[in-house]
Amino acid sequence: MVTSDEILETIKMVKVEQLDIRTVTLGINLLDCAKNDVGHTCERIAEKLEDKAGDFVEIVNGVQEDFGIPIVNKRIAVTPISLIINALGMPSKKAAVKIATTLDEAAEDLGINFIGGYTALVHRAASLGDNILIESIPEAMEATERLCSSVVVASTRDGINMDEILRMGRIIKKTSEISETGCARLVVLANAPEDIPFMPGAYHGIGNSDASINVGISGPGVVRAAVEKTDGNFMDLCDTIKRVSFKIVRAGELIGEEVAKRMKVDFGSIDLSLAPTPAVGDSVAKIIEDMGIEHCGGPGSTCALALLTDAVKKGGIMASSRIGGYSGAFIPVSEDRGMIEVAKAGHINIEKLEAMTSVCSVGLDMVPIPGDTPEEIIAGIIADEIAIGVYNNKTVGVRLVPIKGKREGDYVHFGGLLGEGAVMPVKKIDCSKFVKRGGRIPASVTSFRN
Amino acid sequence: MADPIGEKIVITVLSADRPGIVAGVTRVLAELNVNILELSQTVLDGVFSMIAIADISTSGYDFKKIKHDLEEEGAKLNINLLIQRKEIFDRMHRV
Repeated sequence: MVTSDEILETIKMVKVEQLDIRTVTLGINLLDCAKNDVGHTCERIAEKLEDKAGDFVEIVNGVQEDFGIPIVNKRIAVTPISLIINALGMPSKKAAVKIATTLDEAAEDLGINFIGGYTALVHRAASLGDNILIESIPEAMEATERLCSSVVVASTRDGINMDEILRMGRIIKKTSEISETGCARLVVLANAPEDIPFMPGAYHGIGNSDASINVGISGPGVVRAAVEKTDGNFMDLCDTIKRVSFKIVRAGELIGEEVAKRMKVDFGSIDLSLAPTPAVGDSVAKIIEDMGIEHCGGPGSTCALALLTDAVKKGGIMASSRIGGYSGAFIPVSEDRGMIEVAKAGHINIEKLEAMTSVCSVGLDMVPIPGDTPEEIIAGIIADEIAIGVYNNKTVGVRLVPIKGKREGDYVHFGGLLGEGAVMPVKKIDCSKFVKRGGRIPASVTSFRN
Repeated sequence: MADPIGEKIVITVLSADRPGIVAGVTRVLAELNVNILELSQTVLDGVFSMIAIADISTSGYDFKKIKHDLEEEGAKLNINLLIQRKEIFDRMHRV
């Protein structure tokens, strides 16, 4: 029987320490919607989304009511749209944007705040559908509000497609010029798992069933509260984090199971990522500071993040056999209250962030950069981050947000979950000769495991 | 429709201490024919806390209706009252 203390501990986690389920994401296979004609394809997509997700929001809200754990976001991830474009009789950029707006409208109708899967998988090379989709990203982002896009440019097994990284430098820059929030909904990935519930990287990989539920949990506030109370040595600190992580994951597992059962779909995985928000107390940077570092970004920060991510994973793996997705800790610059502060004060820069991403679960995330940053430099930053993922066998993502008309030190507000922050300085050292060499960097020696 | 999950609920009340809180909550449970399995209450530094574990299978009403009525009573009494399925606590605190 659970004790009164345990009941009160759970309630404190929710009411004081902001424990929530960050997202329940419904993955939907759209391959059967691909028809010769784009109009017909869009009709089928709208029908299938309505059929599979018509009662999704209502069901998730019901589960939230039953268990008293807030579920912040309901989202949908679909089959990479480049595959659908490949199947069209007359594939074109215009057709791609039509699919993009169809998805966006469906999301709005279903009460979903983000829909992911405007995705191209080009870690080896681009197909016709990939080429069309990538070139359509700026316009697709401009035409939508809820659509999320991701482009997978590398994997440990396949190497780094530098042609696509260079192209993404241009696409990101162009997107920033015509769409205010477009770059915040666009990520460049390496080693992307097929079961990510978090946006913008979520897509319904082709290894999945027709529909499945993935859950993204959160809980920086809960971990922080535990860390604050721990004066012990590193063993004690790691144990404390593991215990908390276990409990958070168990909550996520129950929610995921119940939603999947009520939706009559598969339960995929739990992404155990500490996902910060701009809310006070919901910060990964503050956990690092509570471990004894004056400002996140200072010496010791990478080590602190490493032990945090590791302990979180260990607790989670013990709690559930369904751990997947990114799983670790996010350090999005504009979405984390502590990160917003240290970035404003100049305690952290892109180079230190890059070092920290080698031990956390994502990458350079929501980093506002000057609007006039050349596309080759954007490509160079992406290449550095992607290399960390490829050579260390981990997932990384790059979400750089050039801010039109803004310079380093200027302040920007994205609004809502996307947060706010100071535009970070970018080194203007020319790397264009490097990023324009062309082709693919071969697979890393660490990939030869057969 | 058969309830897809368990039938046990946890009712938690946090409030300033004053007479009538337990009476108010348990009266609603009795009216709904909900069977209380465990009931504990403490007052610490003037903060009243009450935890009740109850079985709703005897009730004839569904979780939604029970939750609604209890929350209505909670608002009337001006107390913090939470109703949750018991599984969430079992799952989080037991290996």
